[in-house]
Amino acid sequence: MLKFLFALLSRSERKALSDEEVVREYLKTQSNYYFEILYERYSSKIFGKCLTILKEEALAQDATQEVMMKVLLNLSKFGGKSKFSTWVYSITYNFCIDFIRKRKKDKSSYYDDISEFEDISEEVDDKELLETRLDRMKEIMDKIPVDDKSILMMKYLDGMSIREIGDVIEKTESAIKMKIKRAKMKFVRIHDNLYTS
Amino acid sequence: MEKNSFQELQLENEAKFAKASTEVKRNVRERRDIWSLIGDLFELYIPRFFSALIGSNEYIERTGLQNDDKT
Repeated sequence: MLKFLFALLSRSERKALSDEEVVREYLKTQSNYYFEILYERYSSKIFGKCLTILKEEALAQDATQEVMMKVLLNLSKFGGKSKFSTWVYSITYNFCIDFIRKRKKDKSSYYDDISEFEDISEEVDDKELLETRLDRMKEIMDKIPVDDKSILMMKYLDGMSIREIGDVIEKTESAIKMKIKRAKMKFVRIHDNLYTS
Repeated sequence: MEKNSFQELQLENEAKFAKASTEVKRNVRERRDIWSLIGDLFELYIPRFFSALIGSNEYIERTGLQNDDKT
């Protein structure tokens, strides 16, 4: 009974701590208690993103391990300029993008179909992307190039602002706006190729 | 609150982590402990190395470390 109460108290205390407080305490104590909190809060989220980008569970597991290590070893560099979650996700996206680039396996046939200089004056409605059926979503995300996939995830999954995305991939705000527009178009193009012909 | 397609896909992927989570956690913890040990060793021995290199106790006095070799 006491054990149960203790676990309950511990759980509510864990929930009450903000990410920034947990980071501060972890850096001060290096204790497993705070490590566990960070791990519980972020590992599955990191894994989910890695799996969408890398497409294979085993790769996503390894990537989660690497990203968690990067997070732990660089915690003292987290300056609090952005939300902690944004900082963690930026490490995740950059890790996955680098990984794919190194393997050079991201040669999607759709990528070459769409010229970077194509007229993109046409605006794609967010609704088209956000209400895509899950089975279609999986297939489209498997086919879309890694840069576009990541940028769409940052915007529509993590709700990052244009500025935050710019910080993650080190581009100007106007470049990001253009990239989002292109990524949305590629998404719709792939969707149409797969399901409307 | 209703989830959008990106959030639904993320949730489905996150659920796949349940089985692997314990193993990944153990690996991360072990690697973290090794890094921490390496850090401690550096903290302990680098000042001694520099003091030996410089050949004086100045560095040790400044950092407050004892030079066991000379006692």
